[in-house]
Amino acid sequence: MICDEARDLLAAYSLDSLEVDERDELEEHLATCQSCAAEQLAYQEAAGALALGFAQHEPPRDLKQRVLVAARLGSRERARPWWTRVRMVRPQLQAASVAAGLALVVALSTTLWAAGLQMQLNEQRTLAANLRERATRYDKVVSVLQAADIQLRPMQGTQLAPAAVGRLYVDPETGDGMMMVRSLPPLAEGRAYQLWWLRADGKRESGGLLTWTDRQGNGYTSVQCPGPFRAWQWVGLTEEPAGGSVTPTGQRLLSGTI
Amino acid sequence: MMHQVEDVTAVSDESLVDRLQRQDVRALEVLYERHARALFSLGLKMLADQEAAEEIVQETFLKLWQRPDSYLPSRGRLLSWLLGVAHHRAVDRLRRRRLELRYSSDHRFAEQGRVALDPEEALLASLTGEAVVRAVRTLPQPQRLAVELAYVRGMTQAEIAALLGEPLGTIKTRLRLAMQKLRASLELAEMRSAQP
Repeated sequence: MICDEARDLLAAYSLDSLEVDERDELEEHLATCQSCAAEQLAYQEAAGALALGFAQHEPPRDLKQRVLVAARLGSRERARPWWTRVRMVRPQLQAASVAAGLALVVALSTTLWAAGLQMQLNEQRTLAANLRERATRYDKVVSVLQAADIQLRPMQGTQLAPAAVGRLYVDPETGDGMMMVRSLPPLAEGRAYQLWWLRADGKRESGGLLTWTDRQGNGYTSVQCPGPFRAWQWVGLTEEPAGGSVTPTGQRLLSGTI
Repeated sequence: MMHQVEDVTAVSDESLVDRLQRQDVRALEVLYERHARALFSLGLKMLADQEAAEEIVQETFLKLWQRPDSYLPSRGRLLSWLLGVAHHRAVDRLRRRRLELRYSSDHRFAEQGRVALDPEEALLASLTGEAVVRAVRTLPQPQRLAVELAYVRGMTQAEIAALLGEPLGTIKTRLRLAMQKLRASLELAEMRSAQP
């Protein structure tokens, strides 16, 4: 079995919906192919999420006893973990800090106080704008998944980012798509990740920018496929200046085949 | 001299599975306490039979107890693996039941099919987790139905195609698209919730 055939079966495998011979053949492939095994893992998690989404019921109390084949050990009572104690202390410290801070503010001149308030207001405005921008970006990204057809292309990290992975979802009809990345090097201020579509004749075009990742280098953004989806052979991701580049200037961190 | 009692409830699933290699029953107990509810709920949802659901839970934990090395932490979270084992066993039971029904009464088998096609959107109606409901809502109705028949009713792709009177290729595509979208929606929801 080759990877393309295996990937066609992974969704049904995660749902236990394959015939026995198909399942056996796929499991043989998964045992030797790391890339398909990683894909399978993502489907397994999605199927698990479905299971956890059903109404939850407590099993009968005596079932545990039936499952345990030997006597249970020790007392079930335990001391409260240290981190819960730390959490208890923190609010008091914060309250004390706030009280001290307030006293200081009262003592300051009216000008400084007003300036401080203005700064806080600006921070709140910036935060609200960021949240709005992220909510809009999220809604746009999610809307891609409502397309009737969608093509998924995994991307692997290059030697520069071996732990990184990415997934590209594209509606081949419209070229609208979204990209999710994990474990990229976190972005520095003024930098962005840029997606590139590449053809065998050397032509390359930008597919969009990812301007934000969390501390673990995870992020998502909407992307666009210029022209027919099948006209492109590869995709790549490079780090570029925040506004993006006309042609790639950074080294490739993720790559995938169309 | 006092001995300090170790708090194993704070130990990770992976470490507890390691302890199962040494036949540590307390480790099994903690794993049961963490995950039995999810397994039982899945069994109950699929089999609609409390006794059968209990057996699924028991068989799943006993498999882990007897063969802890069959779970590899590199292949994902323990809970997902346990749910996979439980699901597989529940599917076996459902298929046996269907075979029995088929040979005992074709009429009753056909009745089952009609229940599966109920337009009440059984899958969506039975889900409660917010992220999962949102993810499932993004799926077109034919894809939701295909997932319901495969995951909850334990039908193979060929059985679904026969039941719906659709080409096998169409059902394969529906399931593939549905699961691709589900995993993408769930991953997005997870990334979004992790944002500050």
